[in-house]
Amino acid sequence: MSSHRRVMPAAYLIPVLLAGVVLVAFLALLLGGADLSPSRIIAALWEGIRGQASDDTAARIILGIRLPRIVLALAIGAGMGLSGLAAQTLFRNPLASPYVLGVSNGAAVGAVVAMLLVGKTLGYAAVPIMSVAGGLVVSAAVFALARRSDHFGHSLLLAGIAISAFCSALTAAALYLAGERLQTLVFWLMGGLWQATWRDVLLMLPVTAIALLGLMFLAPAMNVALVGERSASDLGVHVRRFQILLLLIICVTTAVAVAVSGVIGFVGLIVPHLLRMLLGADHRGLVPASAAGGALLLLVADTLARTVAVPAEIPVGIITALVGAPVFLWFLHRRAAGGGWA
Amino acid sequence: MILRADHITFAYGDGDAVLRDASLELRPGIVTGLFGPNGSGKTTLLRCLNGSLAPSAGQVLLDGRSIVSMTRRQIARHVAVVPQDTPTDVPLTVRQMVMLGRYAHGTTWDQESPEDNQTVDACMARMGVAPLAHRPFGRLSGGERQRTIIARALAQQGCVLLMDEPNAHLDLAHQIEVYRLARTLAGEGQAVLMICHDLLIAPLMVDVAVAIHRGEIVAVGSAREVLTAQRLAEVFGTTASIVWDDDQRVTARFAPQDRSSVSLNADRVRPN
Repeated sequence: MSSHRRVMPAAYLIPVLLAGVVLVAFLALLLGGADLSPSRIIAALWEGIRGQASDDTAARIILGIRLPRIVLALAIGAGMGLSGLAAQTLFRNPLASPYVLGVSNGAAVGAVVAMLLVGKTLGYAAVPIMSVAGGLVVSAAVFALARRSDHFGHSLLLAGIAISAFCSALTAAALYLAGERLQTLVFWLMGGLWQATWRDVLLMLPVTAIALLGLMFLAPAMNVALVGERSASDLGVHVRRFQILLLLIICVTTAVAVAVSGVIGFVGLIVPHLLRMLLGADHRGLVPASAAGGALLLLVADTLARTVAVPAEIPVGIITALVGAPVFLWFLHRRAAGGGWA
Repeated sequence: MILRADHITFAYGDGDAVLRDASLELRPGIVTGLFGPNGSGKTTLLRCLNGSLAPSAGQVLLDGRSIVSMTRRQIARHVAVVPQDTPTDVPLTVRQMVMLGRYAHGTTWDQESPEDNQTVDACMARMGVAPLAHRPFGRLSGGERQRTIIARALAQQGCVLLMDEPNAHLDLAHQIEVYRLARTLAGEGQAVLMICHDLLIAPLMVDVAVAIHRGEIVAVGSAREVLTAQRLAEVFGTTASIVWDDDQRVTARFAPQDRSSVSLNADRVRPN
C-alpha cells in the first residue's frame, strides 16, 4: 500500500462539476415530452432574461416548467450535498446523513400533517414551517440521545434508525387518515420534482445559499472538529455554538427540501463521501464541491426520472435510492475493510 | 504571561468535587511537573487551566484576566494543549493536522497565510515529522502521532503549554526528547506544565514539582522536596523512594509488596 493517496485539488474539480451542471442543465432543457430545438431554448432563455418572454407554448414549457424544475433540482441537490457533509462532520461519522439520522423522516411527518390541514386552516407556508419543526424535533432528540454515549457516532445512527422508524409509522398513520388525498401524499413522499414551481425555487434557493455561505464560513472550524470535541475546543473552536449552527443548517436545509420535494435519500450521504475520497478532508474545498456535486447528481437523477419512461415519470427518490443503496453498501464494505473516513 | 489557578474547586455534575481549593502558578521559563496517581484530578486541573472546564469556586487567571471571560480562540492563541489521547480515525495528513494549530490565528475565510505555512513547516521540522508531512495521521506509529500533536501545539505559538502525559506512548529516547523540548521551550520563555507519571526522568527535568492527591494539591516545590519517600507512600500508596546522587544521577527504588525491590537508574539527561 502506498504511504499516502494523492488527492485532487478542489480548485480543479469544482470547475469540472460546475461545467457538468451547465451541460446537464442545458440537456435537461432540451429533453422532455415537447420536442424543442436548442435555438428555441436559447431564444426563450434570452427573452426570459430580458423580461420579454413570449406567451407561446414553447416559452411556457421552457420558462414555466422545465427551468424552474432544473433550478429546483440544483438548489435541492446542493442543499442535500451540504447538509450531508455537515452531518458527517458534526457526528464525526462518514456514514451520517440527514436521511440516516431521521431528520428527513421527521420533516416528512411535519409536512404530511401540514398538507392534510392545508386548505382547511393553514396556508402554503405551513408545509415548510411544519417540516422544519418536525426536522428540529427529531434532530434535537437524536442529538440529545446520542450525546450521552461514549460511542457518539454509533449511538447516533442507532437513535436515528429508531426515530426514523417511529416517524415512518407516524407518516403511515397520517396517510391512513388521508382519505382522498392519499395518492397525492404517497407520490409526494416518494420524492419528486414534477410539481416544481418558481415559488418552490424562491423558498429553496435562499436556504441553500445561506447553507453554502454558512458552511464556507464554518469550513476551517469543520476541519478542526475532525479531531473530536475536546481537542477542537483546545484549538479555539467554540464547540457548542459550532454544533448548534451545523445542526440548524442540516435541519432547515433538509426540512425545506423535504417540504418542496418529498423524501429524496442518499444524495446527502454519497456526494460528500465520494468527494472526500477524491479531495481529502479539507472542508474549504469540500463545502463548495459538495454543493456542486449534489446539484449535479440530483439534476442527472431528476432528468432520468422524467425521461427514461416517457410519458410516465419515475419519482426521483426511487432512482436515488436504487443507485444510492448499493453505493452505501459499498461504503460499508470499504469501512469494514479498514477504509475508515475516506 | 502567567497562568494562575486561584483556589479552584470543580465537580462533574452533582458528584463530589474532583478538585478542591487548588492553587497553582505557571510562570514563563519554568517547567512544572504535576505528579499524582490516576484519578487524582490532574487532567481536570489541566482542563480548568485552559478554560475548558469552569470551576465552581475560585478562578483561573491569564495575566490577571479571568480565563472564562475569554473566547476559545483567544485562549488558544495563548495556551496550547497536548492531550492525553487523539483519535486515530482522523482523515487528515500530518501537515493538515499540524495546520489545525493555526486555526486560532486565522481569519475565517482565509487560506493559510505564508506565515502559517512557515510556522507549520518549522514546527514539523522541530518535532522531526517534516518527512511525514503527507502521510495520513491514522497510519503513524504512536510516537510519530504524539510528535505530530506536539508540533500542532507548537504551531499555536502560545506562551503556555499544557501537556497531559505527553510521554504515554513514547519509548525512552523519545520521552527524553520531549522533556528536553519542554526545557528548551521554557528557555524560550514559555510556561510549561507536564502531567508526569514517571519518577525516573521527570524529577530531573522539571523546575517545580506539584503533587496532587484526591483533588488537593499537597505539595509544591523542587522535585527533591516534593517527591519524598513519605509523600510517595501517601500519594501513590506504594513503597518507593527517589535517591538523589549529587544531582547528577537519580535512582528510584520501588518495593512492590509482592516482589523484591526493583531499582532503576537514570543519568542526568537534562542539558546544561
